[in-house]
Amino acid sequence: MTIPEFELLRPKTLAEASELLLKHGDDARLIAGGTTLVILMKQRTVYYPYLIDLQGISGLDHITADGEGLRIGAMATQRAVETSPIIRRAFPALADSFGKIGNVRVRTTATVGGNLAHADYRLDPPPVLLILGAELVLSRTKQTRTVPVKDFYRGLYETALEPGEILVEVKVPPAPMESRALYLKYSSLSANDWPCLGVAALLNLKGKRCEELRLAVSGLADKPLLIEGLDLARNETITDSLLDEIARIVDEQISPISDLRGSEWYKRETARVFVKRAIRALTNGADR
Amino acid sequence: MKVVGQGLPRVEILEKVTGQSVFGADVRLPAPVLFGKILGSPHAHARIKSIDTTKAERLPGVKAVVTAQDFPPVRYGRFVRDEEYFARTKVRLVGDNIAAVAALDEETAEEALRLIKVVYEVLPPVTDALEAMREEAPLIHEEYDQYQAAGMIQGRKGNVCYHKQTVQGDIERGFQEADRIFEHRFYAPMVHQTYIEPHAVLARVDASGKATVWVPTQAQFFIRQAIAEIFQLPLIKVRVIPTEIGGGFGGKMLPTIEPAAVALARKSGMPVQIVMSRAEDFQVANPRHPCHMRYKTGVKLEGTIVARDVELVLGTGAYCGNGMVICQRAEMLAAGPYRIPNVKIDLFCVYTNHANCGPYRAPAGPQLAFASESQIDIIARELELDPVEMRLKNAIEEGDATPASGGPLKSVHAKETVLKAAEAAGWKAKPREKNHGRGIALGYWLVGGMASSAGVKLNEDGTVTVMTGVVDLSGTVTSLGQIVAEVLGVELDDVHVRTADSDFAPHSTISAGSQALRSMGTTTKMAAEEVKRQIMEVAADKLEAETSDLVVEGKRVHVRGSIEKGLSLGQVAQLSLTHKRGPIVSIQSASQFPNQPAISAHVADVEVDPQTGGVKVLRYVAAQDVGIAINPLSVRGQIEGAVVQGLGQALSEACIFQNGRMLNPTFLDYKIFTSLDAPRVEAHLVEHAAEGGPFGAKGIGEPSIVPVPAAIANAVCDAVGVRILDLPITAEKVLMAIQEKDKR
Repeated sequence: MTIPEFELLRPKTLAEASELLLKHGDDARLIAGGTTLVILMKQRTVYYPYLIDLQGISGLDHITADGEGLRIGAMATQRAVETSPIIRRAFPALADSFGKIGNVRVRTTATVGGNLAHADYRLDPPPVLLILGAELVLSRTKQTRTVPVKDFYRGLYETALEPGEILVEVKVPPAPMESRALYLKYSSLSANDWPCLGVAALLNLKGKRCEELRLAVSGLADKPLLIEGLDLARNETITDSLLDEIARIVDEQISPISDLRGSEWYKRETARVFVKRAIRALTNGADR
Repeated sequence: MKVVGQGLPRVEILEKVTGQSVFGADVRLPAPVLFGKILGSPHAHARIKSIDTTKAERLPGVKAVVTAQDFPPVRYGRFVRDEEYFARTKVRLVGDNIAAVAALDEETAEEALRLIKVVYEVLPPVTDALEAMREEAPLIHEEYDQYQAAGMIQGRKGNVCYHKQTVQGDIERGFQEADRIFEHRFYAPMVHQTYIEPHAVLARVDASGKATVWVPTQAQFFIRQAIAEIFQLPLIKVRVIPTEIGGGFGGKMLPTIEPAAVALARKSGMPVQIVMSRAEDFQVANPRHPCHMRYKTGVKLEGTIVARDVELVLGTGAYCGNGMVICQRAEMLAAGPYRIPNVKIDLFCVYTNHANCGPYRAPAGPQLAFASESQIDIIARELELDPVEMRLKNAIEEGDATPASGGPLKSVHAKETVLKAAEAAGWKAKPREKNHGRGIALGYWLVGGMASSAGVKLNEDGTVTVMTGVVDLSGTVTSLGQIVAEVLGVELDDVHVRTADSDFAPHSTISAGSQALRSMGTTTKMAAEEVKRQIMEVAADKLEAETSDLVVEGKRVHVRGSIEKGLSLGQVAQLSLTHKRGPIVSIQSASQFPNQPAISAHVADVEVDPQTGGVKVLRYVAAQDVGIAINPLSVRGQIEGAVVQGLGQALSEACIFQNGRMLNPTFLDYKIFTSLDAPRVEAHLVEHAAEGGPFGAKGIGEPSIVPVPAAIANAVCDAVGVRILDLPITAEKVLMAIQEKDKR
C-alpha cells in the first residue's frame, strides 16, 4: 500500500511552522508521531500535499509540575505521559487514560498533541482532561492563547484551532484536594480496540458526603463531553437513587453515534452502567 | 517408537524466527520486477457498458494493461465453469476483476488504475442467501443453465447453484415416534481466515511461453491446473513454486491474483509481482460461508434422538468455487456425531453478490456445530438432562455410519473423548458463582485423504532426503521427517524433507482438510519402508545373511543378535551404487483413504457481565481423538490455535457489509481474538491407533475449531440463561437478550 506523494516540510521553530500552515492553508497538515495521519493518508481517507513535521522543533516534549499544576508539551509521547512518575503520582487517571490508547508500539511513537488535535469522538485522554479542568495552549506565530479543553472540541474531528494555530501544551491545574479520579474504558469487542465508550469521573468525598463530582465521557457524542448539572450531588451521600439520577442526567446530555462497537441503544445502556461503576469505584476508594 | 510420538520443535523454525524464510512478497529476482495492481469493481452487481484503458496504457512507466480481451474466452471453475478471470459483461461482487496493470513502481500502477474508465449499469445487489432464493430476486448468473458443471451439481434453479437432499431412514415416522420436537433457526455470518500474510505472487513468463509462479499456496497443483486452464496451456508450461506460507486456513488454494500476474508478465515480457493489501484480501479473498441453518429435532423424553431434519442455506458468493466441497462437508456433518435413525438434510448452495466463499479451517463445521450443538443443549435443558449424559446417550460408536460418511466408521472414540473433556474440566463439580457458566459441545469431523505420492532416497552418507510436493502449513514436514526417521532407524536430524515445486515434486495432496499428514504420511511411510527393504537387500548380500535376519536401527543395519556384524547406512548407500539394484530410492503412491472420524469435545467456562452482556472466557478445555500423535507438540499447537481462532468466530468476528462493500476490512475493525482476550487452552489428547493412518495418526487440524462457538453459546446460556442463535455472541446481543428475558 502506497502513500500518495507529499512534501515534508521541516521547520525549526514554532513560528516557522505556523507560517507554513498559514501559507499552505488546507493543503497542509501538521505531523507529529504520524501514527494516525499516515494510516489515513494510505487509506486515501485524507490527502495533504504538504506535511509539516514538528519533530525538528525543540522544547515541545516537556513534562513538568509546580504549584500551578502540570504542563505537558504537545510533542511528549503518549508513552512518556503513561510512565511519567510526576503524572502517575499526581494524576494517575490521566496516566492511565494515555496508557489505554492503542498499544504500546503506537504509544511510543504517537504524541499527546497529535492525539488531542485529531479530535476523534472516541479518544481516551480528553474525558480525563475535561474532569481535571485542563487547558490547551495554542500558538500562532508570536501569539498564544489558552482554551479550556471543553471549548476546544467543536464536533466530529472539529476543534477550535484557527488557521496557523498549533497545539503546543496541555496545562492541568492542581486537582481539588482529597479528590480521586479514574478513567474507565469499555471496549465491547476485544481487549485491544477503540472504546465503545470511555468514562472519566472525579469525586471529592467529605466523610460520606459528596463535596464535588465531575464526569466526562467519550464515544457517546460527536465529541468528548463534560457532563453538566451535577451540582445535585453536592453534600449528598452516594446512594443508588442518586446514581440513577446522575445516570439520567448523563443520558440526557449524550447523543451516541451507532458504530461497529455498539448501537446507540447499547451505548446508552452501557453509559449508565459505567458512569455508576466509575462513581462507585471512587466511593469505595479506587484511584486512577 | 523412538521418534514418532516425540514432541519435537519444527525443523524449519530457526529460519522462521530469524527472518530467513522467504514468503510470498519476499521473492526477489535478479531481473527488474514490475508492480502489478488489479482494478476491482466498485459495485456489487452491475453490467459493464464499456472499459477504456487507453489513458492508463499511455501513462509513462506503465508496461502492460490487461483485461478480459487478453484472455481466451474460457469459463473455468473447479465444479461449475461459472468464472471468467476478468469480467466481460458483468460484475458480481465489489472487487470483481476488471483489469490489471503492471508498472515500474507501485505509485504508477495505482495511478494507472485510476485512469481506467469503466461505465457501469448498476444492478440491485443480492447479498443474503435467503433473499437470493426468492422468486423475484435478481439473477446473479443469467445463463447459469448453460454453464458446464460437474456431474454432482444438481438442483440448479435461479440463484441456487446447487441443491441436494439426503435422507436416511423415514423422517416422518421418526418425528411421529418423538415425544418432543424442537425447531430453531440459527445464523452464522461470513468470517475471514485472517492469515497474517495477505495473498502475494510473482510471475515470470519465459521466451518459450512457460509461466513460472512463486506463490504462498496450500495447493500448488490446484494453482498449476487453474492457470493452465485459464490460459489454455499444457501443464508443462506452468511451473508453480510454493514459497513459505504465512497461514492459509483454507484461503490459499484457488487462484486469486495469480492469473493477473501471469497475464501481465506475458504481455509486458517482464516479471510481475502483485501483493494484496489487507483491505483487498478481506474484500475479495474467499472467506467462510455465511450460513442460515434450520434444525428440527425429535427426541424421546429420556433423551434419545429419533429424528433430525436440517435445512442449510450457504451463501457461496458470486461464484461456486469450492462451494461444492463445503456442501459435501456440510452434508456429512449436519446431523452431528450421533446415532440418529431418521435424518433428512436439505442443502442449498446459493449465489450472492459477495466474494466467492471458500474453505476456512473445517469448512461449514463451526457454523453447523453452533446450530446442532446449541440445539442439543437446549433440548437437554428442556428435558432436564445433563448435557454430557445427553451426548453420551446418542454419540456414535464403532461401526456406526452417519449421513454421507461413506459406510461404517472405524476407530470411533466419541464417548471416551466426551468423558475425557468432562473429567478434565471437572464437569460434575460445576462452578456455581453468579453469572459464571459452563458449556460443552462436540465437534464432528471426518478426515479423508487425497491422491498423494512421495519419494524417499538414501544419500551416500546414510542421511535421507524426502521429496514431496506438499506445502508445510502446520508442521507436516517435521512430522513426515519423524515418520521416515522412525521407519529407517535414524534421528530426525538425519532426514531432510523437501517441498519441491510442481515441475519436480511427485503429485502431492493439498495442505488442507486435515489430511496432509495422513495422505502424505501414508505414502512417505510406504516409500521409507521400500527404502528399508532395499537397504536390507543390499546389506544382506554384503553380510551374507537373510534379509529376514536383519535389523535396521541406530543408523545401521545389522544381523539380529550380533550388532558388530553390520553396516552403517552410509556404507549401504555407497555399496548400492555398485550393487545390482542401484541407488536406493523409492516413490510410492496412494489414493484411497476411507473417512476417519475425528471427534473433539470442548468445555468452556465463561463469566458474563449481566450489565454489559460482555463474555469473558475463563477457562477452556479441549479433548480430541487424534489417533496417535506423531508430534504431540504440533498437535497441541493445532488445538490451541484452533480454539483461539474459534473464539473469535464465537464472540467478535463478522465481515460487515453495506451493499456488498465490506465496512470493516482492517484488523482495527475486524476483531480477531488476541493474546489479551484468549484464555489458556488445556488440550487433552485421546490416543488410540487409528486404522488407515500412518502409525495410527488421525487428521487433527480442523476438528478442534468445530465446537468452539457452540461451547461458548452453551456456557453463556448456563451463566445467564439467554440463548443467542446468531453469531457472533456480542456483548450487545447478550445484553439485549438478558433485558428481554427480564421483561418476561
